[in-house]
Amino acid sequence: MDEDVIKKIIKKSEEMGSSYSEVRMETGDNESFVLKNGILDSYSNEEYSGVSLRVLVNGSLGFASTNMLNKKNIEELVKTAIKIAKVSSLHQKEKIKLSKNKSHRKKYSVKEKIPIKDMGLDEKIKFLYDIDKEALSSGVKLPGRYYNMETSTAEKIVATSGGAFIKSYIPRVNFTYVITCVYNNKSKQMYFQYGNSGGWEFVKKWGLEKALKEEAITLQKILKTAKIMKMKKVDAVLGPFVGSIAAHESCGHPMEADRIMGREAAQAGESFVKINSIGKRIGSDEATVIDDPTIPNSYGFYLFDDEGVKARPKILYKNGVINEFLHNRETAYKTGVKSNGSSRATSYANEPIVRMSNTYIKPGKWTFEELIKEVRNGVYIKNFMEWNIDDKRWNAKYVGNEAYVIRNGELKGMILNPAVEITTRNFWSSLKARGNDIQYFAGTCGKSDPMQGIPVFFGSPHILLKNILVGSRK
Amino acid sequence: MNISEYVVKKYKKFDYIAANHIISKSNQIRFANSDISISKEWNQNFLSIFLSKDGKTISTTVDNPTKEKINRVLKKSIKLMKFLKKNENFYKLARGPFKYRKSKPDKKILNSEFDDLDIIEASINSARENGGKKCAGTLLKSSTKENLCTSEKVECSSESTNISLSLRALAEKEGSGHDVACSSKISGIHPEDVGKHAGEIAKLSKNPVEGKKGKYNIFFDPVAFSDLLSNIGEASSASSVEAGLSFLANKIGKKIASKKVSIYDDGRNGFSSRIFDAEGVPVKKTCIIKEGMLKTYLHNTSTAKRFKTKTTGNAGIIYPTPWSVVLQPGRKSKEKIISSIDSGIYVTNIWYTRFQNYFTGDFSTIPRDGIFLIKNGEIVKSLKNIRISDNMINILKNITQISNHAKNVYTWETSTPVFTPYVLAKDITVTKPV
Repeated sequence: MDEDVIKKIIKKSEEMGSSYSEVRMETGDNESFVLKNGILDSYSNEEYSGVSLRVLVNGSLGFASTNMLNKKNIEELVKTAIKIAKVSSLHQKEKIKLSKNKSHRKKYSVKEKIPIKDMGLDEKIKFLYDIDKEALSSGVKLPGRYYNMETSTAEKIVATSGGAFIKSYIPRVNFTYVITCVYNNKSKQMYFQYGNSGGWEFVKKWGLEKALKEEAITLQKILKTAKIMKMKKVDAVLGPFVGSIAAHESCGHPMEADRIMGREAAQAGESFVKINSIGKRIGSDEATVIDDPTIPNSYGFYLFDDEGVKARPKILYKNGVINEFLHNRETAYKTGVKSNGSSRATSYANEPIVRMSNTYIKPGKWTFEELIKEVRNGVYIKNFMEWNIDDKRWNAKYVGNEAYVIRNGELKGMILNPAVEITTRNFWSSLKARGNDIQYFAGTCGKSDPMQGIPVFFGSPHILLKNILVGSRK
Repeated sequence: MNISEYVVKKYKKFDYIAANHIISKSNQIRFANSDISISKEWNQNFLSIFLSKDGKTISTTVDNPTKEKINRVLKKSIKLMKFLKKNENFYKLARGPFKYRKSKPDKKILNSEFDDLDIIEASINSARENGGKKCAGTLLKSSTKENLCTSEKVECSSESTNISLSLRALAEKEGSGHDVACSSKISGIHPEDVGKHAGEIAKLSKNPVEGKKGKYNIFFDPVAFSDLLSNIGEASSASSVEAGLSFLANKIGKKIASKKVSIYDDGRNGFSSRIFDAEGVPVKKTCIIKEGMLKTYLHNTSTAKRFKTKTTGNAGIIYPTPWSVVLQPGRKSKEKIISSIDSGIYVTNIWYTRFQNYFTGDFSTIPRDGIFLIKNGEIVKSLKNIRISDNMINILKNITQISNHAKNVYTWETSTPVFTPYVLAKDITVTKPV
């Protein structure tokens, strides 16, 4: 679709009464492989293209999308979006307004050192078989081995009636595994996801052969040696994987302005954070959490959001104080600020809403060894499997998978399924030291209706929490 | 000749081929703070194709299919086939022809324009009259046409319609309640009832106090139990069993639930009902658990071959999938069951169900909206900040009562629609944060 067609869509919708029009056109492809217990269970691919139009008419939002890109259907798209917005406006009480943000005209792309399209299908499949061989070479009994590898490219245009015109190209690679280890009639599992924006070079960087083998050995070691831990208050060093999920769940989500304002109340829920919470304390001085879409090759990378607003880092919690919400243009207007570029949609066929991108705990100065040495009687929880949090983002649970006792500054034996069940305030208030060793992890964050799974990074260094309740899950 | 027939007839060189042309139209209105947030319409037209040659398989999708596009994609697929390895898990597609039920789409949905705001207003007004202050939710309406043709003498088509309403009522002082309705027909949903139930829970749940950890009798509302039942449906797919993602693995013929529990997959009725599966096999009722005993997993033709049984009409050609999971109702009314509870907790909704181990079924989930302490058969308190941390098999074994009426439930959280009554389970572990 060329720029002229997009301009015509915007012009036509303005003629029909739209005060704001936003066209998103996308062309892309996806490829997916599933290797299940050593058999290529599924190979699938798709090429897609489609367009959507979001309009504001008399203060009401209308959205229409289609994958039928002929003249007749595009004309119908405009009529539909305008019509449904007009009908809604007859019933809608509070009129929607959008913040004024600078319009940009830019083109950007994520470079692939090894382009996904240059990789032969046979090479990709061989790679999957090879990593499975490595996992099995561990000698560990792994009756369940499920690997899913996905590659995608997306060319997108976001154009608005305000003059924004952003063209982007973002390739992504993604790999998830679930492996099940059985020993002495007991089982242990681990689910893990890798992802980056970029090319096949990242699949190589992940070091999956080594990672899967080590994971298998670790799971067996847990089954062989891990002991039940009674619930007690201890100091806990949390691995970057655990810290990063807390950054996402207990900071990123509650700081989404649409959630705070009740727009997601029937689905992803509300927030313990209120509209007047800016400046209020939520944790110790160590608690600084940032959301930054501009991290190169991150899984949640973008330079302009789906309303055409320039992306930038946002400090959500700053030294333990609630600092800045994640906004789109609608929520920004309601609070008298400008959008900070947090509006994202999973695809052209979804409405853009307030989302995280790459959310992380700011690193500190401690080495991992120094953090462990700091603990007299405690635990080190390296990673987790089960987790959840309530719909106000207050009551969280993280259950460790690989975890150890710390005694007098040294790592000792393994602990079975240590559960941390903690309020958001207690988590951030207990944070006493941050490592200098940040790591990022890929995830697919779910929100909105219909569900929109969107690529994000979670990040954290090792962190030390003092005096929290930990014990094996029952 | 429709486009699916064209593909199958032209590409006879494949050993097996299935082409399903799907055209759908959906409308959604989202509302929050008792006001409309956005109105949407989607139009999608695509062709889903499965190909197999010499034991190798490819699944592909053609957007807005034309003959030119299809031929380009299939030529590419033929080239790709050379580089694939044999999919030893694929056996064959089901051989037709089959006899099918007739589609019965709701003409009111097929012919309706964007005129459903009265449904939302009726549910919001009802919620407010019954104690809700602000309401948020979604009304979704859709129609889908499918034309499936396979190399195995299958030619079938269907036209289906669906509607779902979800409403969460929020009251002051931390009160909230949620209810949903879903059906294949507009006449199957009753917006006033949805608003009333959500509003009543919201009112009753005001001023909650911190819950306490311990073992409890848990009385699940259908909305709450739907999430667990949907997970049982997912775990019953033969593919989940093979991947180590099912707590039902290695348990065929074993007692895994209370004798009161019989669970079926039945995609013939209710929300998201359908005529045939992805191989063209007619959808039917399949008993998964009979009076506590695990009877079967859900199969397509290929998984059935591996498990030495017959397809249950649940293809996904690669992954068998549950269509609609049905918990057979019991005999007592929900009122009688509540009145029989000496001490327990009534959970009206849950979310964020996550597993520590899919294979063993260890999981936790978080009650949201109204949570009520029951003493001597009556609700005495509203609770907050608790978590159910238990095991799926343990919950199934500890079910003591099932009410006498099943509700069709599809929520934002549940991936599979279900029919479920109210359920009472004993000795369930409840934990809480510090």
